[in-house]
Amino acid sequence: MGWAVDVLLGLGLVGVVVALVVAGGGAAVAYWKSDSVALAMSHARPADPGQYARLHNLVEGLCIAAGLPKPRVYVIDDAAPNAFATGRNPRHAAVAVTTGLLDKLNRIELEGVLAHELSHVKNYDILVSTLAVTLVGVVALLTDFALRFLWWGGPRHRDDSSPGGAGPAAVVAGVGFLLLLLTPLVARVMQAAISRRREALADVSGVALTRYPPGLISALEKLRDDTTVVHSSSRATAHLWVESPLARTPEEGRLSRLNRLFDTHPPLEERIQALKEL
Amino acid sequence: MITIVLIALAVLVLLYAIVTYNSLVRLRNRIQNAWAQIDVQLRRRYDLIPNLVETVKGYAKHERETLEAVTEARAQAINAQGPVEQARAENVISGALKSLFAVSEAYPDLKANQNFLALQEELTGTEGRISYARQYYNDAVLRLNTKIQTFPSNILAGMFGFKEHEYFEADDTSRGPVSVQF
Repeated sequence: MGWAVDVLLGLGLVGVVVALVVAGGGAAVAYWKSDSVALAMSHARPADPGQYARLHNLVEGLCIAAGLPKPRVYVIDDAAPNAFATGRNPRHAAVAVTTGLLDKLNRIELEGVLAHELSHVKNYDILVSTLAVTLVGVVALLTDFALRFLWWGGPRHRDDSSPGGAGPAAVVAGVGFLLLLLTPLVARVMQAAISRRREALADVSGVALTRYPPGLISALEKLRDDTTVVHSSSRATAHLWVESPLARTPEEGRLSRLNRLFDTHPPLEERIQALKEL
Repeated sequence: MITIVLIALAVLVLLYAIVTYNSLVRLRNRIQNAWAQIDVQLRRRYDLIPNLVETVKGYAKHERETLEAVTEARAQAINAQGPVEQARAENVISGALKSLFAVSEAYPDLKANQNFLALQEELTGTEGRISYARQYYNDAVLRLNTKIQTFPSNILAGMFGFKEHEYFEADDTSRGPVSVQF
């Protein structure tokens, strides 16, 4: 009867390998296609160098300061002032800003925001967040397989040997089941926590580029005072934006409570304060 | 046993030497590239100035002095010998451009001219790129000089003749920001 356990154990290992391959494949697609997906989801269009000369000039200048190749520059037709960066590495990076941002910020403020975005590119934040989500995904799949193994393998094991074997197995299965239920939640919270750290980092490295904190401070203050919500954003791309594009306060939308729990960005007030202390 | 330890130690030292040497070379190349980048941006400014002068001339005939100052500053910068003289000449250009843009505020027709606006944006952008290129250059110099001065990378730097580079410093007359106008 031992062979049945062996087969199940073998399947378990194969299962683990399959899980890793599947998760890895998903991550690879997310990694290679992250920029085009994010850009398409937010309806970004390439910024015309003539029409958006100021935007292009600022990006070029900051890239010289950061020693980065110039990323592709996009514009999103949206009244809400916001911006995001994407791309798996500096050679495949893109920066997108909303028309609202271009209208509402002056040159110095816009430069501060762009420096923040280019810092995301320079710090490989897209890679970091992709890896974080993937690792959580792997854990989720592993939990799933462990659970299946215990579910089907456990009782059979009990029939063969001691009658008391079911106790611990059931407990482990129960814990596994609980973990499985919690994993998506944990994944979200983890992504949010990492994102908040990276946002704070990008603020500081952005200022290291412009050497002028008041620019970004004043831009963030304008973003704080503006309550327009970006239309073409989603929870999936929220961590990319300079300010969280999701509804925050009760006036902005019903989901605000939930959003605050899983915030991808530190509160603007905190970020402004941190920059003022530099 | 002792020989194994010694060999391991030698391998580690060699690896360190390779990594350090490569990073020194990388930094030296970065400095050269950064210096070239500054030149590229300065040249771009030289190219933009005649267009700007022509455009402004059509609207602001009474500002001959200001225009001549800009043209003069450009000529001097192009003919400047050595980095110190060049830095000074470039700062004169920045100042002359600043007053040109200040003067142009008095001419509504000029300010409405698309060509002028585009040139103003280009020059402002170029000013920004010049100062960012200098910043990048100075950052690179800082990193190389630190490596050359600190132990133990100073040993390798000395062995292979890596020399400290000079910072690009703005002279006393131009401590303020170089930007034309925002």
